[in-house]
Amino acid sequence: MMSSCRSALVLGALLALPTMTWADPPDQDKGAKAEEPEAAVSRVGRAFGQLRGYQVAATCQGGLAQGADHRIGTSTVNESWQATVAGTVCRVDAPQAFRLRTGQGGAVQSGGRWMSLLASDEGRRLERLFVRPEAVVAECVRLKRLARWVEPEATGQGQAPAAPVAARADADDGGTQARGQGSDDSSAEVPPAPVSNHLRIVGPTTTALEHFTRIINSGCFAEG
Amino acid sequence: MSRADKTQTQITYDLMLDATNQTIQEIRFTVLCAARPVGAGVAPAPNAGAFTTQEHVAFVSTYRFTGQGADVVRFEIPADAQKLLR
Repeated sequence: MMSSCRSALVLGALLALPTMTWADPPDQDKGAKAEEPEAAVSRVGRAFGQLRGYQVAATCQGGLAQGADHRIGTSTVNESWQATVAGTVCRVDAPQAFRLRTGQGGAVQSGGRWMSLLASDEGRRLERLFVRPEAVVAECVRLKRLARWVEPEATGQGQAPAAPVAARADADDGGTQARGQGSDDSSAEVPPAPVSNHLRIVGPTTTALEHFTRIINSGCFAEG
Repeated sequence: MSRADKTQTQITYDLMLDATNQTIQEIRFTVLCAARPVGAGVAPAPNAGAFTTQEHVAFVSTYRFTGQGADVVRFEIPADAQKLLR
């Protein structure tokens, strides 16, 4: 009686083992599945916030543009900055300036002395046009629901931006079935979509207007 | 920017990640604002092609990140500048 009970327990444990393994797949399998863009924005945003430091090369170009690729014909702004972030402080090389990584304000060297960022033209220009990367990333995280993966650009330069991947998760899940349903025979030869490293967020017009107003307030337009 | 039509604006953020999709390598954000055609009224009708076929205002900011995860470069902050970092 005892031995049959023990055998039943051992058999039960052996049968349960593979079931437990299937129910909880390893992390590798989870990683193979396409990540939701919303989750990816959250993840990279968190990773960016945890950086102890980094260097950034920033540019801001603007003016009157023409065409879908927004090629700037009449340039109004063409600025570039090199900055180093260490801990909570960011140092900008030219104009020489320091500012906190988050928040507002800072110090800029103007005329041989240190003054508040917003107290000089060059500081104001820096503060308005070189938005803190942390603020931009935070904005992306806030708008993460609008994020989409973008397919890697095909060939050629100066084309319109690549189109967002509309139903990436569906395509990955559909796999063979989706190919079989296609009416065109060539669709069966199309290789699976390459993994994208490009996220795009098209923000609301209110956010766009806020940024446009900030740029105008930088004084970069002579007309004001 | 007297020709800017602030009723038509758009902002796009592009995040370029590294090969393993772990870190942000580049951020590009584009702010667009429609421009009123010369001779148009103060409040022209919305135009679907305002950012494609028509002349418009565009600002493109690009941030390229390097040295992420590497040893942070330490720098001295002058005392006078330090006072303003509060």
